[in-house]
Amino acid sequence: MDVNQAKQEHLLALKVMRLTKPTLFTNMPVTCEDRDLPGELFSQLMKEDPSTIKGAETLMLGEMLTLPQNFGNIFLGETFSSYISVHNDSSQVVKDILVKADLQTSSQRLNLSASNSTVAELKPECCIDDVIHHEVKEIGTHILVCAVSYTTQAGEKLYFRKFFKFQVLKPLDVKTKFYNAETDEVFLEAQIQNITSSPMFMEKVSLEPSLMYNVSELNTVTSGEQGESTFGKMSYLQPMDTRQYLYCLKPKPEFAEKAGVIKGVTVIGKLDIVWKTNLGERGRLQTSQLQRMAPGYGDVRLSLESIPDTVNLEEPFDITCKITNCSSERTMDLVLEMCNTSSIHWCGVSGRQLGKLSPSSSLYLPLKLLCSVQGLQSISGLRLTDTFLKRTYEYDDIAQVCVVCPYNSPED
Amino acid sequence: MEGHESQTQRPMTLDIVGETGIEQKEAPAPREVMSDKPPEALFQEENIDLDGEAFVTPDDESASENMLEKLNDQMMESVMISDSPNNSEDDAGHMESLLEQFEEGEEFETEGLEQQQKEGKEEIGAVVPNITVEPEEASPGAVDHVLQPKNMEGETVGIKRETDSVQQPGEMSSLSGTVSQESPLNIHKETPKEESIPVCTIFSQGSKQKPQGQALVPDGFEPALVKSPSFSSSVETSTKVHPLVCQPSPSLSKFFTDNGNVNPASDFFDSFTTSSFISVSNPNAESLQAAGATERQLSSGASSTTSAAPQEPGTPSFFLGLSAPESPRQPTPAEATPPFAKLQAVFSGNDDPFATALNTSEVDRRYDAWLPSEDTRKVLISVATQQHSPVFVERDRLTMPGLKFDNLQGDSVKDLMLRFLGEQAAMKRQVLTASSVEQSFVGLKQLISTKNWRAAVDLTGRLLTAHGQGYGKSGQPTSHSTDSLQLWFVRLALLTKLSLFQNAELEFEPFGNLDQPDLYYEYYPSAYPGRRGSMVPFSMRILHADLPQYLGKPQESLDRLHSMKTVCRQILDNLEQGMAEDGSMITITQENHQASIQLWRSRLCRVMYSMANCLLMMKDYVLAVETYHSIIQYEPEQKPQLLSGIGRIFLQIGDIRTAERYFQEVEKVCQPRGSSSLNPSTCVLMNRAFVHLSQNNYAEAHATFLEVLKLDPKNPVANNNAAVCLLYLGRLKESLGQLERLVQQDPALYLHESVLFNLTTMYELESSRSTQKKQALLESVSCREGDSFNTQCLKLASN
Repeated sequence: MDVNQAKQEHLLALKVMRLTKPTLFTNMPVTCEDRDLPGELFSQLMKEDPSTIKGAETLMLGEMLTLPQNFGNIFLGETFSSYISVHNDSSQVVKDILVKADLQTSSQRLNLSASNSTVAELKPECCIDDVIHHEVKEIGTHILVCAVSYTTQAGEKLYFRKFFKFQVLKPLDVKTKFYNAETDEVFLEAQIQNITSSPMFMEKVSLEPSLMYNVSELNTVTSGEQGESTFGKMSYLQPMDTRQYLYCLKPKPEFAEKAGVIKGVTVIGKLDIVWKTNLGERGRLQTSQLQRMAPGYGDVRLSLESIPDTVNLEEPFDITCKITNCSSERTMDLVLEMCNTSSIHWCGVSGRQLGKLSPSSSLYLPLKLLCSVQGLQSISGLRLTDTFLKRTYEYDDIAQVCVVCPYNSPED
Repeated sequence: MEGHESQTQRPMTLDIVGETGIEQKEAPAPREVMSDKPPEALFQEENIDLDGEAFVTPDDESASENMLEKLNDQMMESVMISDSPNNSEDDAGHMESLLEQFEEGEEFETEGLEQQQKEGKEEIGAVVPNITVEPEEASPGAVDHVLQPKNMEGETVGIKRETDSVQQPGEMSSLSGTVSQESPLNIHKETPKEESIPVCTIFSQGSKQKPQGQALVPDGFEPALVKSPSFSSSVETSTKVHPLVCQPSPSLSKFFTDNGNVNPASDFFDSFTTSSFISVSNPNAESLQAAGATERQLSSGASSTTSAAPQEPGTPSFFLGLSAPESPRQPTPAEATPPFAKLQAVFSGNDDPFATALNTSEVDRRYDAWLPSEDTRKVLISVATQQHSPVFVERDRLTMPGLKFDNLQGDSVKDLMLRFLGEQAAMKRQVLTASSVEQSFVGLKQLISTKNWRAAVDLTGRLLTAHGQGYGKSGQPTSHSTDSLQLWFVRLALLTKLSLFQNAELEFEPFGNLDQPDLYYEYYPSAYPGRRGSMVPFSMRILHADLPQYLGKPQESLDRLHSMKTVCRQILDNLEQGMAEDGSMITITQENHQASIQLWRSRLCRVMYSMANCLLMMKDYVLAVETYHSIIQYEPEQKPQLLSGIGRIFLQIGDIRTAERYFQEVEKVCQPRGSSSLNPSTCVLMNRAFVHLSQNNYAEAHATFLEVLKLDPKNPVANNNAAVCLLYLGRLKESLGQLERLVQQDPALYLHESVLFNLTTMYELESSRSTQKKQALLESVSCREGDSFNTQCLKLASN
């Protein structure tokens, strides 16, 4: 570990050590019983060993802290901490010492030194210590550049630099997927994979919604008073493990009303992820804004406002449809047709005028129908015709309803 | 899938950026900035598509048109994490100048290289043990899609070593250390000298072929810079990210000629002060293993002339081997060596087997009880029923152990002293060797208690040789006795303690699953009349089960532990139903019954501990915590330790909140014991300190460790941990001073590998003269520690 002779010509020595968290020493219990040949010896040795847990020597995980054993890995979002020590190896007092620590990334150069002031003098066998911290925000090669300048007793000005290179790796793989509900709700599924080689405790994975949305997290199951995480008791991710987080986004009423419908690409929000590893080593990442292409509804959108879950066989029931004119400036004149399918029978007049519908406005339409087949039935067969453009929009499979026979189920 | 996808949704490319987001500060103009670099220039990572799976065909226009159709996302979108796209012009300028410097640095490289090679050859023996392989963590494909290989030339030597050693773990393990003398009894006959250093050959070859790699191995440090020995996947990555092709810069070459010899090549990419340290936490580490000196070979003639123990038909005696001139021959075992006599009980009572049986049967039955497998049981029954004609047992069902290597001994402390302090100093080191103690169990115990485990292993070898199970005797029919198995247990336990796992496994192999018929007393009706149960001590079974996990086979360990647990449970069930351990209907006194239950409870606990430890090593934290928790019901007095341990597991994972919950429970448990609630116990304080530490509050953690020291000033853990906290607070000198003082004042407590490792790490951080300071440590180690001392914590070999 020692420096080559050549370097000795400098009066000062610069040493840098990355300060990851210390680790807990683990010991290896090898035990025997009193009747065995070594008798008490093994247990005596284990009791004398300072790294064992007294009273529970067979417990492997001890309490002794050991300093980091290697540089380790550093991941985006973690904090890079380093000890920088400048030591006066010589026998003379050195003056006007300036230690500068810069971090060169592929895009910028940052100054990490706590103070940029010159130290007036450094006596032999003394050191200047600095602990630097930097939250890494870039992937790829980073170079820590440490520069030391000083003046010898003879007045000679000397200067040297050292470069420490390290790679910042990507810790997580994040994939997202949107599901559009029949209502204006949007469900976001985020798959987060730990692509580091150590377990990660996910302290926080939250969705910060954009202005337009309210978000509710669907990652806890409420049982009793306390919500229980869907991920079980221990919230950590093993290497290469993936976890799905689910969020439900509802447009805020003011936006839902104003825009009528949300069209095109909208910004949903961003994921904020905080994780911790060994002894609380912390990392934090945010995704960029997640964007979602709102589903296209064509010019006219038909959505369901209310529908029962379960209906009785051959008994009429009511549903409410909402018809929205999604076009930008055209007022529509719509005609509603209702076509029966093998199982769905509409009640009421087909082919009726719905009246004028101005742009971005909607109307609510109560309809009555009955089902003639048991089981889960799809509601289909609604047709809207724009009389001006002579264009017909078909609405099939707009919802499903469970049809039961009331006579056969004595429990009801 | 993909075709469908491109129609239905717009692929998204998302950046993960650091929380404070740099994007608002600078105008993003990254590509332009880098565009004037030569095609092969640095930092091509810029262009690397970081996500192989991404659907990178963004075609906004067409996509948005297709959007008019029904959206049916069935595909996950990949969120890409990429570099922040914000370079500024002058930053790039810096970068370029840096690149130039690297080029310069590489020109100097070759000078140092020669030295390096020479050194490498000289220190071959020392380099080898540093290499760790953790096959279970090797996941080469893990990071493949993160960064694409650009230029393999920059591959470091260290990586070369690493990958190669991954490929040949077997060979590595059989590397013999310093002097490999070709004695017929050499440990590794199968790996002759040239072969025994393949890794080192690779090392020097690597440096020849890849001079650029030297840039990463400055100062003769081990190449810890870009590799992380414990995570080979990271190594995988770094092999791919060295596009270090640079241009010369006249201005900078001036800088270098000015200080030509002052700033040698190694200044570039200096190594962080780190080093690999192999301890139990790296179970695959191979310790230095010196081939024995020939003069220490056992003289078989001597042992045969001096053996004078009472002979038992079928169980050759072996207790008395070489008697050193100063140690008198033991006239009667009973007088000279009491423990020896105790072990001899079986033999001395031989005249009156019935009386012997009465005396020892209770305790023997309790301790020896074991449930053999069905097959074994049948053989044992047939042995019992056919008293006079020997039962034929197939050869492969017999246990025929033999030493697999001889003369393990060596003393790495002395070797280091020879290298660093000279012959004179090394001569002063006096440790017990196998020859300098009584050739008996007494001598063996003496060696163990003075921590001369290597010598102790040698002594077990001699004693086993006397028993006919010596070197090369594996596979030859032999018979077993209580003592021979105890010797094997001690030998294998010590090998394990010395982290010589491969050797232990090799010698364990003939014992199979410890269930062969000749390992039960019933097999020897004449030698052990009336005695039943397992000759294999329970501790040896534990050892046998624990061993595979240190060799990267934790599943095997778990399998063995589970079957042990089943047997323990069954025996406890039998006892609880009023039967004997093996399920036979014997009337046992209440007292003996209780003692049996107690013993088997504690054995069950021991098995559970091993299981939990193994699970922890496998990083299966859920099961590990569960298992530790279930031990509490058997060992209620260990509750605070166990709960604290579980809390520390959670801290290790990073789950501080859950850890705190466990620590609170500990406080509740500890409270009634402590005299007053105002004075929390050390255990409670220690836990609090760890929580502070995990919250990055080193100052508070340090203060809390100091509080522990107020209660218990000699607490080595608190002392060490307080010093570690000081370092994180930027107070290196204080921290160093404290540790140094501790080691000087109380070497018995602080000459521990963890403390010494911390101390040497700080020496390296503190000054360029760490070697001298480490040598001073070596001297104090040499005065106190036996030959089993793990010298790697001194980090002298890596110089």
